[in-house]
Amino acid sequence: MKSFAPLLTLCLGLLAAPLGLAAEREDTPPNRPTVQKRFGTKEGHVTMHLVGVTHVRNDLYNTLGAGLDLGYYFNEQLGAELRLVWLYTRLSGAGDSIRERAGLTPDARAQNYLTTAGLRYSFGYGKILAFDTFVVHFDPQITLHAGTAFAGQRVLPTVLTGLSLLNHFKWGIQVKLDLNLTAQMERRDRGWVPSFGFAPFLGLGWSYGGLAAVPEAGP
Amino acid sequence: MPQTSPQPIRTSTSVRCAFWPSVLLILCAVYGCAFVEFERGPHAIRGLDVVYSHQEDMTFLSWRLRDEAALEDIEFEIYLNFDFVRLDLSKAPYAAEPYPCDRNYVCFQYQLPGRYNFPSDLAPIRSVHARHGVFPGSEARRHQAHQTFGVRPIAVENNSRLDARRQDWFADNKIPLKRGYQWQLVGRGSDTDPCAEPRSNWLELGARSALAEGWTSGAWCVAARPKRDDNAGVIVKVPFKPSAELFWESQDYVPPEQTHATVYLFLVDLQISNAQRCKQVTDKIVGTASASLNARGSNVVRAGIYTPISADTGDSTDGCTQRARQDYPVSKMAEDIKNAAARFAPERVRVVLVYLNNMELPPSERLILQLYDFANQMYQTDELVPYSWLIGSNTLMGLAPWEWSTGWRPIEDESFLADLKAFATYNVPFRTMDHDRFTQVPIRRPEGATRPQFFKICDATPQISHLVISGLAVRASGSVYHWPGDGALDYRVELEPQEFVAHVEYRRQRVVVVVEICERFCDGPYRTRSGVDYDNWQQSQVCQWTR
Repeated sequence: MKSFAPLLTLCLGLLAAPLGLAAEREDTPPNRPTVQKRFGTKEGHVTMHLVGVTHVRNDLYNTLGAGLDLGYYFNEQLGAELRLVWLYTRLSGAGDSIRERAGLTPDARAQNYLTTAGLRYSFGYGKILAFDTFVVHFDPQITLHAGTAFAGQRVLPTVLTGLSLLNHFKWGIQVKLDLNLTAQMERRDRGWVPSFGFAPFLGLGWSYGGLAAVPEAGP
Repeated sequence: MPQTSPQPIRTSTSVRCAFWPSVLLILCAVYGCAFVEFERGPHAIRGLDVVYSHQEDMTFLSWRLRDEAALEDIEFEIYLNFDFVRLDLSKAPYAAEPYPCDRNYVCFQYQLPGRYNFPSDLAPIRSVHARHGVFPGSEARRHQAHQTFGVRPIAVENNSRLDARRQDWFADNKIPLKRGYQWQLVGRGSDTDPCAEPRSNWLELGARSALAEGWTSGAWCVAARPKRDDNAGVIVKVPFKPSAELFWESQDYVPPEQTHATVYLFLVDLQISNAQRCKQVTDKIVGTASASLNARGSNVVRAGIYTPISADTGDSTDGCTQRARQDYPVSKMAEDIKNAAARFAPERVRVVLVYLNNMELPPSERLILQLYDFANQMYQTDELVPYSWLIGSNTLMGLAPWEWSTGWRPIEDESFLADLKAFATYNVPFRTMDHDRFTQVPIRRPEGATRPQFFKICDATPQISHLVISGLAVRASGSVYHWPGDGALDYRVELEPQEFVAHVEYRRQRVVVVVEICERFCDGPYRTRSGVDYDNWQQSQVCQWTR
């Protein structure tokens, strides 16, 4: 599962890139440096993203998930976000083999849902010219989420943190890639047990700035 | 220029300490680290019991899952005809929804007709989870039972209800099985005839099933069976007879008490040289004691205040100077007492002699004898019971067996006056318990009983000495006796006697007797309050009342 996510992200990014190309033309003469206004602004914007995720914990389960992110940016740097993700978890090949032979399963339970709330901080803004053909605008971000995961009757306190790349395209369309490290606590029969993992999120969404009339941001 | 040797690069200890754990944490997070151990998961079957009942010719299967299992995603398969086939739990002869059992488990059950055989190295039932697949079952525990169901019916609550006393092999062996039961009364010609065949009108069998009124007039059997939708299954029929119809009652007896009138008198024999002070002291003591005594009620009477008389002239003295030749007016005192007590005749009266003497020297032997003479005169009269109270010195306290004594102190001492008042509140009125070992205490017919036949004395506190049935005393040893009909039923009991006891010291004694009577079917079975069953009330010394 770990190898699928970056590949999926790259594919989606490539598919969406022409939108960015269409969004902006480089009309400025090449020999004169200029500072442009930002193409993708965030302050006062509400965002909504459909996200896909995989969660890797090395717990003999495979997990795929899909969900929804709802966000709001207080300014160009800081935004808040709510996340609700449905997870489909089943035993991995190795886990299946042990279950079939011995009837044993991991004492960690398969997770069904993840709900978190968190912050998203942009520490920069940039654009790149890709393949001498189209321009992509993006925000590098740091994310921090906390919430709970549900695994059957168990409730797992969960923290996610990592780096994110938020890409801006025409008509407010956004693509983001979160590379999150996860930390969870699970109350198993032997007591509270920690677990750590990796959870990449790929999101496709839309940013709406009509709620707040703010002047366009500077460079 | 001065040469300087290159300095080694130093790293802080805290940085080094934090470095490797940080690396481990990141690696752990990137590659995943769930610290997993293996267990029989919530979807795996545990505790599979396979029971073959010879009586019902049926195999009962019972198993369980952890209660955290997602039951809607789980199905079960059973090994039949060399393969696992899907199990429909609702098609079982005794079908039951999954139900909580033990702690943290959900139980399931299924039954197969006849004896179910399966390979010894195979778990015959396995679970299949919709997402995670097949979970092999646990090894089966095999059992055989000749009889798994039976009843031993007993009528309770005076034949108004039935307790089947169901015998359940599964419950006895702690193997979960959920099924209902049914019953009905079937007739038989007489107590020796076989039970008739049951009809189709079965009733649900509960912990206490209601019995029809008047059923005790015939001969009956109880037919019972486990409830099956197809009306098949084993039926047991057991003869059923009425139980003893009993009534018991706890009857209290508190002996009546009598309070006595009190007649008191003062005999003042002081040695106080100042006449004015002597009068002041006498008045204070007499006044305080009289006031507190009179406050105890209207049947407290003062006979008088007496002082010694001169042995030479016979004249009264002032009671403030003790003389070598003086006498106490015993005859006058006795006469006045009798006159005062006459108003309470024929009741017995407590006579309290209050003797005041502040000298540290004992009075002459002649005076002491006169006091004894006074006491004798009191004792010679049945209605008078003397009581002596000394207000005087320590020397005098040891001189005679005073029943109450108060040490002499100045009248200005508040504690002295308080002690004088305490006599009345502690002692008066004196009380007597109207009971002796010949007193016969009646036993009443318990409430609800109309036609008593027999009775038992179940308990008596304190133990009663004799039971008196129609005037004839018998030992009360827990036996069964005929109820005396119109005759009286009494008992005698010995209690600690209390006669002319000080008001505060009187103890109200209570006798508790539990009597149990039988009206009908007295040779029948019965159940005690604690739930123990006996076969024959008449032949048992144990009461139904017994806890």
